[in-house]
Amino acid sequence: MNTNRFESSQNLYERAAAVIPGGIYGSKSPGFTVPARFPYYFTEGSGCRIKDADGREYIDYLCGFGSMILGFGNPAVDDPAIEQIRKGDLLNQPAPAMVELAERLAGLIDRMDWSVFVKNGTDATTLAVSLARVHTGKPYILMARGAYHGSANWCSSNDYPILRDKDEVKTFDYGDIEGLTELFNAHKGEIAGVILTPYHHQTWADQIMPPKGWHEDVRALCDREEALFIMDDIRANFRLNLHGSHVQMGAKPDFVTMGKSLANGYPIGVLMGSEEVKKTASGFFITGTFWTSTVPFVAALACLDEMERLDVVSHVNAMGRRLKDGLISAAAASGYRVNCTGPDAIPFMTFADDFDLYHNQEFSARMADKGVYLHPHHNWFLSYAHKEADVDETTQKAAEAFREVKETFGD
Amino acid sequence: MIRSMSSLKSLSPLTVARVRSGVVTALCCAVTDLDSSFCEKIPSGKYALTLSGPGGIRRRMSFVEGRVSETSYGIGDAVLRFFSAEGMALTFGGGRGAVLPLPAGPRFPKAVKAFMTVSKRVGELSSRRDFADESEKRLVTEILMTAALRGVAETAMADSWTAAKSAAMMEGTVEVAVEGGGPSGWIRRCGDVWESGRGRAEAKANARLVFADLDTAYGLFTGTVAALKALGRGMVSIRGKVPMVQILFPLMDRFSEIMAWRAEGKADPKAAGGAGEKGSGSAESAGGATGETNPRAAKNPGEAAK
Repeated sequence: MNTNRFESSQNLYERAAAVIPGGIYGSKSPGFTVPARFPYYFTEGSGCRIKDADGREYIDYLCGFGSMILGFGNPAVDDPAIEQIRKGDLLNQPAPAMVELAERLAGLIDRMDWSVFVKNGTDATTLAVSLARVHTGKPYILMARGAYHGSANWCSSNDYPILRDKDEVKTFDYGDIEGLTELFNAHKGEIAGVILTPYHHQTWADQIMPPKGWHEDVRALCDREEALFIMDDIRANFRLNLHGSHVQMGAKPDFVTMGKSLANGYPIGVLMGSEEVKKTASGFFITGTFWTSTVPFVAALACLDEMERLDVVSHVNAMGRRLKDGLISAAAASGYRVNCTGPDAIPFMTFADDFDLYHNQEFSARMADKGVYLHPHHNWFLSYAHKEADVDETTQKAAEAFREVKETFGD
Repeated sequence: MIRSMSSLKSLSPLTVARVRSGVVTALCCAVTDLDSSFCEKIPSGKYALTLSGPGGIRRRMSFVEGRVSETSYGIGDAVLRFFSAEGMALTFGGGRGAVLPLPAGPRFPKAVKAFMTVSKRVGELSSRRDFADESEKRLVTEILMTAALRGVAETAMADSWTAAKSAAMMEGTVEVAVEGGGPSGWIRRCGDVWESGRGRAEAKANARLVFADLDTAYGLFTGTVAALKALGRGMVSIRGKVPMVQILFPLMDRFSEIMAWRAEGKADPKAAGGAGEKGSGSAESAGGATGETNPRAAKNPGEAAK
């Protein structure tokens, strides 16, 4: 009898390793979860549930790394998208939907007046950094240590001396206004901009909410030093505030990058900016073959309709709060204290006094075994498809998992 | 195949000499620790020897009744003085470089003879592929593990190409072990200093890389087992602060290049890339897979005494 629950996943991975560097690269590689105890490939999703290549179903809390804000296979988005596919996706020139979406976002996102549509978060953040440099005529970009702004060399872990992309990028600790001020002083007159996430959603660690006044202080520093403020809202967008996470955090950026949940999983990202920097963007050569494909625009418009109609922000935060409370109670029943950090709609849990995450890894592997996909190292996401029954089923299974973790570690 | 590398990636003989001499020193210690019967073949008594090279390279070994340990002070009874980094690098890569044995104490002949005996044994064990029994396989696996860990530690401190990677490693300890009480070792970063050792880590490791069995460990160290397959199947597990382990992989790859370096500066790709198994992939891009490093690429690092 074959007892390997992930036989298909593992076979696929071996085939992949022959023809794809690393088999699966980046944040989806097996090493980012718990190898051999998590699936490597999925075949379908519906609502808040996904099915892996071996046919096992999971209540999913990764939501396509945040993209599926309405849930998998949402007909309100998919139906018009499929209709557009049949009519044609990538046309020679943009479709009217591109203009409609730009107008819609300009009206919806606080302080932002224009949009450049791209495919991924990296496209948007990298473009923002370039525009900040060109607009100010200054070279340096400041970013928080441990922050993720994409896979481009200027902000990734691709650290080799031949790659000079980081030479003019400096880092500070998120929330440390003194450290940030020191960088401004050390590079007086040379700083083009500061790029920040609404809160610090680092991987492998607890989420950190900004200290009081942080974003206001950053704005004041940028104004004083004539630098631009870039808000990287790729991961959090539309789960904190429909008008942009910066509204929720009291931030007043010059640029905002969005993506992920904008179109409920369809490939689109966007760089938005204020009127002040629009001229610079207009004079900058920007293009990509697929950046004007129509289907994601149509999907984004439908997704925005649904998010507004259903008050998705309230729902995902309510479900996230329910999940956090349930996990804290379930953990306590086994004698564990857990840290549930981050916004309710984008939570993450670690075990107190488990800095190295050994307990997290065992817990998430146990949960995967029970049919719940909780990433051990990356924050989670709630979607509109998560209902109370799903969350309660999750916390019930978590109670069992906590007991099993206790047995494993004997603590 | 691209034959020329950028000057930034090119290895300097000094880096190679530093890394290789460190590995040889660690292996000399390991061999006598792990194989007590072999210790009887080493001249008895207490004496010491220093490997000395350009750039302040000093590797000091103390011999006490057949056991070798690394020390951080003293000259000892003999100094093997290398006049060039290239010569030192070649010598500890199984080639020949100019070396001058200098007497520094009354037990000079013993010290030189002992070092030649031990380094020859290191070479034999490093290249052994057939084993009389399980214990011999375990011995060789532990030798290879020692070489890999020390090699990574030395690479992290000496190599400019991977310096940014090394700097990104958080301080702490990674433990490497074979499940079920098999060989184990550790590597630790504390500030600018990287250390490695055999056995379990003294304190709880921040991360653990565990091989399911001896065959997997041996296979991965020799490049005869595909790393990604082993990871995917759970034959290798990574727990704890996984990024600490992931940072080791590019360093292991670089260590392989260092061990494969030849005087003209051209690496032997067969030696550097393990078995060259299609699909085994790059250790770094595995994002958590084990490295394809092949410490055997050292080409008998112990043959220095030839």
